[in-house]
Amino acid sequence: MTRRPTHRDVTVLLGAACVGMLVLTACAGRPAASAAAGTASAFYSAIGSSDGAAACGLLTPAARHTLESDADESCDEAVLGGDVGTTLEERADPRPASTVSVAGREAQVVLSTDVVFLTITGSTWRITAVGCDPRPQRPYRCVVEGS
Amino acid sequence: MTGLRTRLERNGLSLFFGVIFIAAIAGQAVSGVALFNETQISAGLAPISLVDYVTTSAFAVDVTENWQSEFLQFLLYIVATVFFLQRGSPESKALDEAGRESDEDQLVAEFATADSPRWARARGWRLSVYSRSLSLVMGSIFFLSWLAQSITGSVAYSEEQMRDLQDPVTWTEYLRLPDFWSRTLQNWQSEFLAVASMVLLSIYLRERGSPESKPVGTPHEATGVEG
Repeated sequence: MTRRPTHRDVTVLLGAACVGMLVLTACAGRPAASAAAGTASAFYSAIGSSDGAAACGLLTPAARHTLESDADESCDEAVLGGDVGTTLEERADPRPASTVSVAGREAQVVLSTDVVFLTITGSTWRITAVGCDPRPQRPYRCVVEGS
Repeated sequence: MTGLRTRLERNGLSLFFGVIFIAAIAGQAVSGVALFNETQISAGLAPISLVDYVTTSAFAVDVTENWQSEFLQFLLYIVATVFFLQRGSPESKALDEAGRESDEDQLVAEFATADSPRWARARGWRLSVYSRSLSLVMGSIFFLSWLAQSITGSVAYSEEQMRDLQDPVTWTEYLRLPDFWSRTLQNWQSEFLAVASMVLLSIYLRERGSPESKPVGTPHEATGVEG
């Protein structure tokens, strides 16, 4: 590690660095950030039209499973019923997202009435948590979240 | 065949390090995707493929945080050994040679030889640049790697934040967070310790045949002697 580098060393290292960066910057064909906002909007459109099946189709399997376990009924019914349904219905808003943040495979969509978290599943965005309220120095508390 | 063998032998050092670099980064990718997927699965998310993983910021920040520290190590080593000496160490110049040294010692301008590099032969900006080209290139790679670490680090950090249902951060916010400085300094301290150890241990210890060591029988006080 402490030998004095030569020009040959520099050439080899530069070559390795270039190959590495090419690999790192290769496009993985991920869905666009705007598609995350579209998924969040589609979810609330489904809630607004009482289409539980369509809303559940936009959740991750883990979020669906947690919702079904907590409510002890199918996702289609649980997402529209009880406190979850009431909260989501109150937050349904046709206005477009104000902020979309994407980092790697995760996204956060800030709507005028809600904050939605999403992840890439396959080649599309799916919702990991919705109906979320911020808490100081702690993760958001969400009425639907899968973990 | 003989020509190829000769070329391999004459480039053995760079080939050896090139091969183990590729093997190590491949191993990092394989173990890294396994670790990444453990986190994904425990968060109820889908695992990803190796190809997807090597394009993530999580992989890139792990790579670049190590790159920047290695290039910083070499940069500091190249520049510090111009001015600082260490009695008895083969890593140091002789005790009367501190500094940039004379043109005669450095074989530049009128002291250049017939086979000296072109930019070393005449005074001017080319000689100034070429006289510092090693530190300029190593320094540039260091800064670019550190910049890449900060950018990919901010993305990887935000990804973790959102996976944990927390707000993402901007790049400028990330530069002020402990995650950035912890990743940076934990690498720097190990590099600095390794260099200091090499400088001091090579005073008293020997490795027969290595140019990084003094010849085995050389006295401990001998400075600026390489095997």
